[in-house]
Amino acid sequence: MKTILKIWMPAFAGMTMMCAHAAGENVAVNDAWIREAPPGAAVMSGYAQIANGTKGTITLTAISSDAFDKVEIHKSEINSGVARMEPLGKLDIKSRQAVTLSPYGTHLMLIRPKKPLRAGDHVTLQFTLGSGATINADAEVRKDTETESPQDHGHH
Amino acid sequence: MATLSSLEFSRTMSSLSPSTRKLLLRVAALCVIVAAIAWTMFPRNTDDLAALRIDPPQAMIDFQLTDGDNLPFTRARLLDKWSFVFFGYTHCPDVCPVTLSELAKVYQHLAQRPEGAATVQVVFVSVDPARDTPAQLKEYARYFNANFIATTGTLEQLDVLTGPLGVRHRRLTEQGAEYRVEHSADVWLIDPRGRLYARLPAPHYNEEIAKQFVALVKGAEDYR
Repeated sequence: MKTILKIWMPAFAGMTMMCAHAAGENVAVNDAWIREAPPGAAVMSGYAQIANGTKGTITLTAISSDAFDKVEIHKSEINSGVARMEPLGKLDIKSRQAVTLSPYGTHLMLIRPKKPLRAGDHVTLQFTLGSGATINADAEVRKDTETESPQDHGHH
Repeated sequence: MATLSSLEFSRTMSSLSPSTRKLLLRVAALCVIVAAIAWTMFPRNTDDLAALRIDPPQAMIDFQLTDGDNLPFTRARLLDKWSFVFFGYTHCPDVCPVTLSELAKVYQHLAQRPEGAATVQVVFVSVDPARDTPAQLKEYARYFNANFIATTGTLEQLDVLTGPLGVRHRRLTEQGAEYRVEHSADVWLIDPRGRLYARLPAPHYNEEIAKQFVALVKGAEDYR
């Protein structure tokens, strides 16, 4: 039963997940979520998939949220065993491509939550594109990691 | 099941048109390449365990840190258990919580074994003492598992532990309170005699760590 659920969950999530589109543009922010942080943590991380259905490259220039003082795009890198976060000023997404913000990779650094956020809470993230268009995406706070292990590809 | 002798095989091959033969050979070559890539991507056998193991285990000198209850955390606290030690900081939103979350799953998994949870512990060492106080660290580590130990010390005290272990950590120069810290993302496995026994490379996945641990400690004489 658990396995069946596990296999079908992505499909189910796919049907119900929040797909936010930019007005007049074929750009979508899918499955945005925020990792619940330990109590008192000053930073949280957010993940999402951003799909560019337009004919040209789009640039994600800023992200903001009423729930946080500041949101930045960061990239986790592990070089020779050393982890380091690099702030990315902007993020380009080529035509007909999607970028997935995910654990151990490019992610949103959500700085100083204005109130404690617990799993199940929902937060609006506003993505601003180079064109000036904005996309509001609903992000759910989730407790656990769905880290994709190399053995686990079939389920995702 | 149908079997082809080598003679039958060569007859079958020669009965095919040259272009079909070429295609078949290309498909076969591609299969070999894909298999080779898969082999390098999933090296999970004993040879690789040997690469993780520190052989012979490396003795550690004593060190003096402070735990979440403001009690001394010294080498003695690493004795009589297998310790998974991870170095990070709480202003790290991605790699640190992901790793601790994976270690929580490993801990839960190992606690279900007959040996129980008493044989293993997880220690989170903050390499950012300027921002991470022992009390904050206690709350932070407890979030992942109530039995997780959090500890830190002055940079000098930390270096007594991190230096010999080869743990790298460095505050990146930035103004104000929003600096980043780069740090080794491996998990250090300390044996019940307080010796560095293995180093598990990032990124970390709980199932893999649990498997590596079980395989690594199988040969250890004082596994308990």
